[in-house]
Parts: sequence; structure tokens; C-alpha cells
Amino acid sequence: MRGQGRSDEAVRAYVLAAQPVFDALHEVATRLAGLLMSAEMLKSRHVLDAESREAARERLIEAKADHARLRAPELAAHFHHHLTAALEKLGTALDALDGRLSGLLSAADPLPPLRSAWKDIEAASRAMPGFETVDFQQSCCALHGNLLRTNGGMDGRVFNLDT
Amino acid sequence: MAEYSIWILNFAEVPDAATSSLIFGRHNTGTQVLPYAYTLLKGHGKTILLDCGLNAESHGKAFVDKFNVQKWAHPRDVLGEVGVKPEDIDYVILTHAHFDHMGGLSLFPNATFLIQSEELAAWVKIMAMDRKFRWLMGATDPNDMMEAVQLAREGRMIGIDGDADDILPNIDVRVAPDTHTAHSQYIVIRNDGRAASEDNYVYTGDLVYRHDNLHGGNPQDPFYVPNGLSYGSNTKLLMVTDEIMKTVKRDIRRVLIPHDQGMADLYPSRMTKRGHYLVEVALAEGEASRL
Repeated sequence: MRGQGRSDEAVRAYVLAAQPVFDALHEVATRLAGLLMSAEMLKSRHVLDAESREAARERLIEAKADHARLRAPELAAHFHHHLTAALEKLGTALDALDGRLSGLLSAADPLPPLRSAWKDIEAASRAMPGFETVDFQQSCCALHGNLLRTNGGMDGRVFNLDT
Repeated sequence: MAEYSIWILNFAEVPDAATSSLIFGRHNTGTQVLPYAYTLLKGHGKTILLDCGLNAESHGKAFVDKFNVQKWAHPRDVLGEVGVKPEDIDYVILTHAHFDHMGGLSLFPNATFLIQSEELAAWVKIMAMDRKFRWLMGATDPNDMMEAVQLAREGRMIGIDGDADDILPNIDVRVAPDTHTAHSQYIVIRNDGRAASEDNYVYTGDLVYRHDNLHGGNPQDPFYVPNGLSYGSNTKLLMVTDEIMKTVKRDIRRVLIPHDQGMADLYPSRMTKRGHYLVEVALAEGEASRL
């Protein structure tokens, strides 16, 4: 039982430490998706894009530093694998986007690594409760009562992103 | 004679959505079934979908699992009830970029998608905002935006700039800025083909959730009540509601509301074997009834 207790504690500590990394990667991916939409469809290069790109870069750097400090227990290995993959792919996507927006002809397409990174974020979300890819808290179509029950109520950062 | 056949096709439901999320101010009044539906138009040699639902077989699965969305059916089954395949869809007009209206982009491989440019631009701005503003993301999935980028590259995601007449034959779109979302649009089908139509319909998207939004529960002395979720101004939403009612000459039957199962009581309808309602609003010449 004592071993089980230590294991639970290790998972809990990991989850708490991984949450900001997950949140940061989610934010970076969302920003990149917006930037790509802006570039591809709206043909925009306005100041918002530059600010958002800088913010994405800063968040990714923070996430890398936080990620390097994570020690994944066995129970979190699957989640950690996808978190790590997403981190790497988002870096690739951001570099590619920077290259594209700088006019480098040799720049790779940022969309494939971004989509692949998002799949890893989704896979990580499925691997561990409390890591949500879409915040449905105020969704018009969400079942709020059920949402609160399945997310463990309003108590605790781990199980509710809005607390 | 009708220019388009029109069907409202229910494809899923949330069994107990809070009433207050549908009709502003009705707090502590329990829950209601919230159906999901899209609307199919067939005419002028084109097959057109108004909104495209969500894809519960891929990224929409998390949504369906977590939020008790029940009875989701693939469009091949839903459209199959009226003899149409997903591959047959030529155009999808998107009213707004919420998950349950735009989440099915990948399900219609030959479709071109039409949405207000400013609706996407608004989402781009929101997606660039600090995490503290994530409430504004609502139920918008970045996955849909990535899919939209790919479609834009293929020339299959087209932005509309403001109100537009005859975007497709006898179909107009009208923008509703700063209402349910930043640039939702509603769709007017002039089914007699006339500019001053005597036989038109308005598809509302989420500008209206329920008939109660149109009459406040008092059809004899109606008053407008906003729905329970507007990211913009409720006042503007009510002004748009009035525009919609004027467009249909205040004939409430001609307001096609995707989230109101009451539509099935206003027109001939049937239940499918999967338990979805199918509403036959109009039949074009030569089109057989699917009831």
C-alpha cells in the first residue's frame, strides 16, 4: 500500500507540473493555427501576427524549460510521450512559419507539423484526465451539469482548467 | 413551384441542455433536449448544406464522449434518408465557426465551404489573445481552423465579405455582426426565385435557438428574447431577430431553426430508424417526398 501511495503521489506531482506545459503547448498550437489562417486565407501580415508569433515563441521557450524539469512516472509515460512529441513538432512548425513569413523559399510547410502536434496534444488529452483540448465550459451546446461531474467539480487545478 | 427542396436533418442531440443556455434569463428552469441539425437544399442542379455538423469519428469524439452528445450519426446515414451522399454536397454555407456547425468539414470531400471572412478574422484575433481570454474561444476547436487552412489552400474555403445576394442561385446571406459570434450570418432562400420573394425562408444558425426566442413564450403578443449565449451584444441580436422576422413577413414557420425540434411540428416530418427527425420543408418540381 505504501508503494501505491508513493506512486499516486508521483503521478499527482507530475500532473501538477505537466499542466502548465500542456497549457502552453495548447496555446502555442492555437496561436499557430490562427497565424496560418491569417496568412493563408486572410492574407494578413499585420502587427497582430508579429505579436502573436513572438508570444508563441516565448510560450514555447517556457514550455521547453518546464518540460525539461518533468520526471514522468510510469503511469504517465504515455501522456509524456505525446507531450514531448507535441513540443518538438510545434518547434518545427514555428520555425517553418517564421521562415515562410520571412520569405525564405526553402522554408518548409508549417501546417503538417502543426497538425501532427495537435494530434499529439489530443492523444495526451485522452491519456490523462483533466487535460482538455477544447474548453467547453461556456459552450452553447455543453452539458454543464455533466461537465462539472466528469471533471470532478470546481475543486482543484488538475481537474478543472478554469479554477 | 419551389426552386429548392428543403429538408431539416437532425443528426444528434444533447438530452438535457440547461434551458437558460437557450433562452436568456430562464434560470433554474430545468433542462431541455437540444437537437443538432443541418439543413439540406437541392435545386438548380446543386446540392447545398447549411452548416455541416461535427465529426464524432475523429476530433469531435472527445466532445461527444465528454458532453453526452447522443445519437450522433454520420452524414452518409443522415443524408441517405433523402437519397443524398456526403460526396454529393457541392457547397456548405457556414453560419459561424462553432464546433457543432463547422466541425464536419472533413466529412464532405467535394464541397466548397462559404463563410464570412470577418468571422474567421475574429477567430484569428481571439486565437492570438492571451490565455486569460480563452472563454472567447467557446467551443471552437483549433482543429477546425487547421482543416480550414488546408481547405483554403485547395480553394475550397471561400470568405464572403458582408451581405451578398445570389451567392448561389436565389440564396442570399446576411451578416449579423457582434451577435452570437463576431460575424455570424443567416441565410435567406428565395424559393420562388423572385427578388421580392413571397416564398422565402431564413436559416438562422445560432442566432435563434428556439421559437421562444422569437415570441418570448407568448405568440399572441410576441416579444423577442435573446438566446442564452451571445458573445456579442444581445441588443444587436434582437435587432437581427427583427430583421429575420421582417424578411419572412413575420411568418414564424419560415424561420428554420436548427436547434429546435419544434420544426418537426410545423412541417411534414418523420422519425428515422436511428431516432432522428427529418423535416420536409419544401419540395422542388420533380422531387419525390422522402417521408
